[in-house]
Amino acid sequence: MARIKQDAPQSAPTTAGGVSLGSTEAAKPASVSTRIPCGPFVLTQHPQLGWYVFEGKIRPDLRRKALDPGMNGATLHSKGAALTAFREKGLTVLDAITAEYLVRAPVPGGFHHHFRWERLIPGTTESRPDLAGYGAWLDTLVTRGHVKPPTPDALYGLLGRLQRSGAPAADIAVVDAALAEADVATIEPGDGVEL
Amino acid sequence: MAGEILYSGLGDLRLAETLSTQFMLLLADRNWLGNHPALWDAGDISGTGSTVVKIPQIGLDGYDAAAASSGETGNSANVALTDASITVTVARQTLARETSGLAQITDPGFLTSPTWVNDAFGAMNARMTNMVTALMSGFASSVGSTGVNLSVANFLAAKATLAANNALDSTPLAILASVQMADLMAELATTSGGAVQFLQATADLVQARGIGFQGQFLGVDLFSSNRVPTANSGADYAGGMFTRGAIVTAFGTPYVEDATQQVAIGGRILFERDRTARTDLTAYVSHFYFGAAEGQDLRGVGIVTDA
Repeated sequence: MARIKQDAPQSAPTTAGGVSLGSTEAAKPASVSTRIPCGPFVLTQHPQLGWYVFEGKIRPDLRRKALDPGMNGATLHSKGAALTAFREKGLTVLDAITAEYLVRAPVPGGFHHHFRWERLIPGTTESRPDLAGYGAWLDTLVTRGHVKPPTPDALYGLLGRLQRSGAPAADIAVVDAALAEADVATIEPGDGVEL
Repeated sequence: MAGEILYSGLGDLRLAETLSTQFMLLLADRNWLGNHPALWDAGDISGTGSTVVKIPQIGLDGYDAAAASSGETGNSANVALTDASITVTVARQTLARETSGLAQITDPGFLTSPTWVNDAFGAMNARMTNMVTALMSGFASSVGSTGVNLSVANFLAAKATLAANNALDSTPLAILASVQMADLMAELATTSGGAVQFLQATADLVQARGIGFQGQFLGVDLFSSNRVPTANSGADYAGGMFTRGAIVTAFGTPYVEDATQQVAIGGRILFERDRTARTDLTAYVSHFYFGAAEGQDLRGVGIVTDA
C-alpha cells in the first residue's frame, strides 16, 4: 500500500542571507541568543550626576553612548568626533578600556554588543547578570584612576535624587553615611555684603 | 472488506502538506514612534554639502533676565549672548533580501515586490526605534534603583527632574520596556486606587502617534518598546523620559536615478531591485539615510529599573 511521501521540500541553495526555504524559525540554532542586533557603545560618566548605590555601595553610574554609524556623530569610518563631543560636555569617557567591558555575541541578523557581565541565554532574549562582578569592576575604575572619586557635592546631589524618587531606605542610608564621613563642613563662605 | 479508498493510501494523489495562502509574522517588536513631536527633526541633508547638521543653541527670550539699572543715568552693561551647538550625522541604514528564480516560481505569492516593500518599511521603523531607544541610556540624569520595579514615585521623579532642568516646556515622551510598563500599570492598579488617572490610548491616537503608543499618564505620552536596551549588565532596563530637543534626528532624501528599478518610499526609503542574471538571483535592497544623536542632555532622564 502506498504511503504519503514524507520527503521534506528541497532547500534552495542561496548565498548568505538569501531566502532559503529550509530556513525556518524552528531551524535556527538554539545556541545563540535571540536578541536583536545592537551596535557598539562606549561608557561615560558624569562627574557630578554619575553616582548611584549599586549592590549596597556608592559606585560610578555609567552611561552607554551608542556609536553605530549615524548615532551620536559616529560614522562608518570614525568615532573620534563623537568621543570628542562627549568630552566637551565634561563627561569622563572610558574609550581606552572598552575591551574590559564591551563584548559582542552573534544573534540573528548581526551582533548584539553588551556588557561583559551580562550572559545571554541561548534561545531566548533573556540574560543573567553578574552583579557582583560588575560592581567589583566599577570599584576598580576609581582605584585605578579612570574615574575620580565622588565629591561631597556629588554625594549630596545623589542623596537628594534618592530621597525624591522613593529609593530604598538602605540606599539612602549608604549615602547618608558617606556624607557624614566626607567633610561637608568645608564650604567656603564668600565675602559678606553690606547693603 | 477490501479496496476502500483511504487517504492513507493515496500517496500519489495527495500531498503531505499544502502551503496556506496566509502567513503569520514571526514575533518581533514592531512598535514605532512615528513622528512624535518630542523627536527634534533637524531636516534633510540633501544638497547641503555635508552629512552633518549643526543645530545652533542660543540664549535668547528669557535666558538672560534684565537687571535693575545701577542708577538714574547708570550705564547699561553689555550682556554676552550665550551660544552652543549640537550636531547630528546622517549615515546609510540598509536591508537586503535576495531570492532565487526557483524560489519565486514555486512561490504562491509571498516573495514578491510588495512583500519586500512592506518589509523595508518595517525594517526602517525598527531601526529608527532601535536608534532612538539606544540614546536614552546616555542621559546623564536617571531615576530608579537597580533590581527594583518601576514605581509611580520613579515616574514622578523623572518628570520632576525635567521640571527642575527647565525642560518641561513640551509634552514629554516616555519610552519604557514592556516589563517597565507592566510594573507601572501594576502599581497604578494596585496601590494608587485610581487617585492618578491613566488615559488609555484610543485607536485614533495610536494611528496618529504610532503603534506602541500606550496612552498618557500625568501629562506624559507613554510608549512601550522591547527595543529599550538593558543597563547595569542586564539587571535593569534603561527606559527614559524626554522632551523635544533631547534627541535630534536628521535624514537624507534618496535620489532615484532609474525609475524602472528604483522607487523612493515615502520620500525616505530607496527601494530597488537588482537582478543577477547569471545566477538567477533577484535582490531587493532598501536604503535610508538617517542619523540620531543626543541633543540637550538635560531634556532627558533615564528610567533605570528592574528588568
